[in-house]
Amino acid sequence: MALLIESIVKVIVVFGIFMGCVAYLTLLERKVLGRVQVRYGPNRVGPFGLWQPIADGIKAFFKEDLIPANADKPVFIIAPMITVASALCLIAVIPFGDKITLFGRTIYLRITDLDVGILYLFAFASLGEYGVVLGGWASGNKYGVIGALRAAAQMISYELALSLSVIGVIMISGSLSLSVIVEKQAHLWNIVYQPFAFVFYMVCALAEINRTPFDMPEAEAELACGYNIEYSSMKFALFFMGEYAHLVAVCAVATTLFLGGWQGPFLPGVLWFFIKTFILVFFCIWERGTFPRLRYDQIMHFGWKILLPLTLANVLVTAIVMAL
Amino acid sequence: MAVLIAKWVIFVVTSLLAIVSSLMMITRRNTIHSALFMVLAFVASAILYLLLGCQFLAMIQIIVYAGAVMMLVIFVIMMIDLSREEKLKMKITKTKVAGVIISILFMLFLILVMAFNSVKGKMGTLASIGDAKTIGTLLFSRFLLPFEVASVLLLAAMVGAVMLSKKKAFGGEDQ
Repeated sequence: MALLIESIVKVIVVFGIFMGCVAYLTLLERKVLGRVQVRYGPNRVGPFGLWQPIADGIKAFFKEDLIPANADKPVFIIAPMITVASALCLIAVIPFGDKITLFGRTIYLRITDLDVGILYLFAFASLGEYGVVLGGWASGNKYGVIGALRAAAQMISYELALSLSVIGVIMISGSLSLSVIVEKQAHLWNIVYQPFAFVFYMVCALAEINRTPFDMPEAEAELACGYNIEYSSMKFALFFMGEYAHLVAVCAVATTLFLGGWQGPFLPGVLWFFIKTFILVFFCIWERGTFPRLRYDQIMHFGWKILLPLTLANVLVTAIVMAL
Repeated sequence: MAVLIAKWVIFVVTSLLAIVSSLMMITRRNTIHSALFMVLAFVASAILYLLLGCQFLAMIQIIVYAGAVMMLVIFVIMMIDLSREEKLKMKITKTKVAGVIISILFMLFLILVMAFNSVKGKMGTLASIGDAKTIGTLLFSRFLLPFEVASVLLLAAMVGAVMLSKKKAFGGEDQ
């Protein structure tokens, strides 16, 4: 019983903090992008625009909810939910701290510790892709369908390289469990052993979450927002939330796999975890303001002919070095 | 006791989900809808694997079948215009009759096998099969030859697909 209560409390706390981070990430992104483009960004609502996410949420909630006449209604409604739910599920296996003692109980700072944690992450990431693909298709709109097609092709291509880039870390740690991987990095982070894998992972992750320079499914200039073109009100907000939740989750996974998770001197583990994840998230915003969008055929070419052989070579070299 | 009841409830719900979504899959007119019900059936069977303690198999089931394979299927379906197909009336053709007969025979065969061979086994060996380590060890020792044969077969299929789609590039003068 105590275990059940502990789990429920952990889920609620993690969910609350995670969604809070996601909400304020939208503000951070608009602020940083504004500064990159020599503007102020949102600064009207509250001090420094701090109430902007809340205002946006209320606005999205009270807008009219439109469903196009030739949309596939059930799929149209389910698609945003898939995106958000799968992104939220990702955070369940990430260890964000060591154990603490509270009321005489030892509490591990993670929601759950699966033996196949990494596979769980890939499973839910691949299920989350259905949200974007189905959302675009169900809109009954040309641009939506083209966005969905691009999303499907891009995700299939980069998922391979993404999984291959992580294999090196799994080989070094000898485990699929994320908490074991973090513990193995107590002395030296995996990024020292696997610097290229980290770069490949970040590139593939950006492609996986459809972020600039890989944001082909929603390229505004050519597809007028692509897969979410017909979405309005809360359904659009759900897509938006799912995208940012996925971004935070992907950066948290990178922290866990390559940057030693919650390990670090002086400060408490949870704080280290937040700092490392924040740096990666900031990098994702920064690069969005820096890089132009790639052309579609270039993205596919890069994924299959450059990234895939490189990640394969990385696995091979890691295996040879470990065998020696 | 509570755990057993919970497991039983999960088993019944997921089995029903798997059966219902399989039925929905073969009865839908809209191809994307039937593909989605197939994803649901795959996810339900992954949950059944989890109940057996096979975490690794469950995750691979979701990644490979529910994720990658069905995503490819949906990708292909979206490329084809199916509006004409959906308006077609039910027509009974020879191939359909043959398909139904073969399916019924296959199902009878499965039922007979299940009825005459008891599927009871030791729980201990079953639980360790879902382990990543056990599967890896088995694939690279006892089942090495079938594993290699399967991978050569897959490679051949892949080369074949590339050859078919690259027809023009290879036999340029002929066409």
